Amino acid sequence: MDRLLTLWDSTALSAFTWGQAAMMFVGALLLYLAISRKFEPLLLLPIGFGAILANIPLAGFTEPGGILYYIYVVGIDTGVFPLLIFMGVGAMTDFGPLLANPRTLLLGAAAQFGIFATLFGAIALNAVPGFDFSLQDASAIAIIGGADGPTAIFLASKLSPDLLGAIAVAAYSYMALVPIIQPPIMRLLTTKEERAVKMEQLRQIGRREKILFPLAVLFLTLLFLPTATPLVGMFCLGNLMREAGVVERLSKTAQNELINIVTIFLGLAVGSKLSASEFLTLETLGILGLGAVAFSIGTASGVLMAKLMAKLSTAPINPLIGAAGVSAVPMAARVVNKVGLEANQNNFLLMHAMGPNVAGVLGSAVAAGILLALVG
Amino acid sequence: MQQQLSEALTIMLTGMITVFVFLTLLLLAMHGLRRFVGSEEQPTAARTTTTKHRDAGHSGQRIAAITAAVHAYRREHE
Repeated sequence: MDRLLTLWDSTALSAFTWGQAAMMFVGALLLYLAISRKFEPLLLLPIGFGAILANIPLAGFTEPGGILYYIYVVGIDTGVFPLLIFMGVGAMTDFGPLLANPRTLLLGAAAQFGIFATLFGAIALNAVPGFDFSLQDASAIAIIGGADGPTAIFLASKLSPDLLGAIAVAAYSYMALVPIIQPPIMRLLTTKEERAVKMEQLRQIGRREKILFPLAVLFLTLLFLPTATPLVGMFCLGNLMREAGVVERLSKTAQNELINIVTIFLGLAVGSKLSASEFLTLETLGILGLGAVAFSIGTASGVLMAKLMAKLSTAPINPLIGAAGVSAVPMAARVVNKVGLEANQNNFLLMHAMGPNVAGVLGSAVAAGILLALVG
Repeated sequence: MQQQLSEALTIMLTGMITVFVFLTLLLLAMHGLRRFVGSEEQPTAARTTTTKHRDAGHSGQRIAAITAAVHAYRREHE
């Protein structure tokens, strides 16, 4: 009888808590969203599976000695994984459309208002009983509005590691929801005539200009915003490898093998932070709500800035491209293209939207650097 | 609470201003870059076209010489 009791005690069934069961359900939900709905499957699949593993009782995945614990400590605690991903993203990014139309940088700047407005919103939410966000927490939550997964994880790991799981899940979920969240806001703020505006053909960019650009970005960042150099520096390294044309092997590795390997571990490590005590809280609901607000404000301010530029500029500007200022490359640009085509069947805005789109990546990295400098 | 809110407001304003200032600086840098690269690339473009012309001249002379040789050969062997 004693043996039987010992055996029973070693099964998961005896040790299960409701919280763990609920978090396994959350993990399964993420798997469903990834597999059936194709919501950012590259990230949500490992995150969902990581969440299930992390909540297995008695297995100790997230305690010292467990694999998820080590992956988290090595990759996210140190900030290494998001930075490696950022290098890969840099190697995948073509700055051509931005260089052809540099003014679209301002759209990438305007869309960052989503981040800073949400920071204010998160602190204001403290008025509701049950919420107690510090300025660090609020900054980490607000960066969801940058629509940039690695940036959000990087900042959360530095400022508010306890909220990292919820922030990462919110960031990637909303990035998957860009085609649903953005179009109504874009239609609300523009008229049909504005959406139908055709833009001029972009000029061709020479190789030398493309090589010098990441170096110029790095130079300005190290002068004025050193706290943003980890993100911007890795991004520029990836981009330089791509454009230099002499290290094609490294560039290919950064944008394929390396980023894929890191993505697996990053997802698992984020999943390991989805424990009941950290996720099943009122704060998570607040984070999900604030994330949606951040996204919407970012989209709206990008579109409004584009409208302002269209008023002031002699060259025609379609205000829809402002919505792509919230990074989420290339989903946001594709959404702009789709909404543009609805208004005018011959209007292809994709390349025009890629300018503000990559400007948004730079903008959110810069915003992260500012937040690190101000509240870190 | 009140103090936190005013702090958040300050961060919001300084943050937004910094983002705009930084990206405007980058915008200026891009214009500078374009001018720098533009002035460097034009002479190269001109040089390639002149070499092309010279090449064309060469091949023209060469074609004339070959044609003349063929004519001379045919005249001799008819």
